[in-house]
Amino acid sequence: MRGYLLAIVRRAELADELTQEVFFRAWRARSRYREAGNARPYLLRIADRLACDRGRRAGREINLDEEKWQQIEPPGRDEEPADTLARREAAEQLTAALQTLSPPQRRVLLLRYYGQLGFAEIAEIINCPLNTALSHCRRGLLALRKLLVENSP
Amino acid sequence: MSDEPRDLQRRLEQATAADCPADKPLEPDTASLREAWLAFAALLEATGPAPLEKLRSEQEITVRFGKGRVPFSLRENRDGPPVIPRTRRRLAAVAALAASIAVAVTLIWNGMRQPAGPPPLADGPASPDIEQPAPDSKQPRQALAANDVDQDADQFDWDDSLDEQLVQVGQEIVRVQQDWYQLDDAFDPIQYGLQQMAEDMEDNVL
Repeated sequence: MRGYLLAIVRRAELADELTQEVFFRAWRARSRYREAGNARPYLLRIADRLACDRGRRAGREINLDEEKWQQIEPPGRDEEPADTLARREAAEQLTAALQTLSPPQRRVLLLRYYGQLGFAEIAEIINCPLNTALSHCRRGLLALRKLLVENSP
Repeated sequence: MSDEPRDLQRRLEQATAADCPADKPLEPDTASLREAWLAFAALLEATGPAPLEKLRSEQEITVRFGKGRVPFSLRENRDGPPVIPRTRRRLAAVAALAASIAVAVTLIWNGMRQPAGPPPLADGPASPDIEQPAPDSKQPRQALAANDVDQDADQFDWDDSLDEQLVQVGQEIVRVQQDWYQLDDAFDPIQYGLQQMAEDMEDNVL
């Protein structure tokens, strides 16, 4: 849940705040929840709505580049320098990859990764037809391939 | 759904599956998509913090004592005064504000119910005490004022309704305090529920 929110909002403290909000809302709406054996899509739907609402409301907020991001959230103290470097490089690559994707492509791929959801569920969450969700996924993967596989040194 | 989208869905599900069976070779197009997916997943895994570990280190939600658990609100600060959660402090402030408003409204309301001027003391001609001094009167103004105060004190009758008003205000305060306690109690189940959910997350039940 937090991973999904962090990948969408790209700010740790905001992701933490939204994660708490997801569970708080889920708890508040517990009477309306019908147990179907899988709470993950239910929670992810709340998380997705919260992230979208937040994005709409705070359109003026600027996501930081990797350098400023590191200044705000330095790596753990116990981490080895080599690990820190590798982590930083990966974070830079991920930032570039996420910026390559359009917002719907990002949501589809992240919901698939973090939620392990079927495409029908994803389409329902992001409120679009199944074919559109499939199209977002395919185009997103093609864009990622171009960046991460074909352009990779 | 026609065959083409269904086929696309199948291929995308294969490409983005959590694990891919080795004995089932992928089509070339699906394999290239899976390559991109694996690269993306590796980045997410490399950069993603361990959420529960981090959250656990940042805020300790519960303290276990044997089988029971003590909610955060009841924990004591060993080095200083007792820890009072923010929600409880806010509730106290709201209760105090509500009590003040209740008192103010009651007093204003009762004040408006009072007649505008002093009631007439008796029928008949006006009392010489409230007669305006003649323009040529040589009586000093201060002496007149002191005289008026003494006469007002003599005219003051004890009003039983004042006692009733005080009782009403007291009852209002007690009611507001009771509401606050009920509200305060209502927060504990929420807090407990959130703790339960956090535990379920730890146990991977959710």
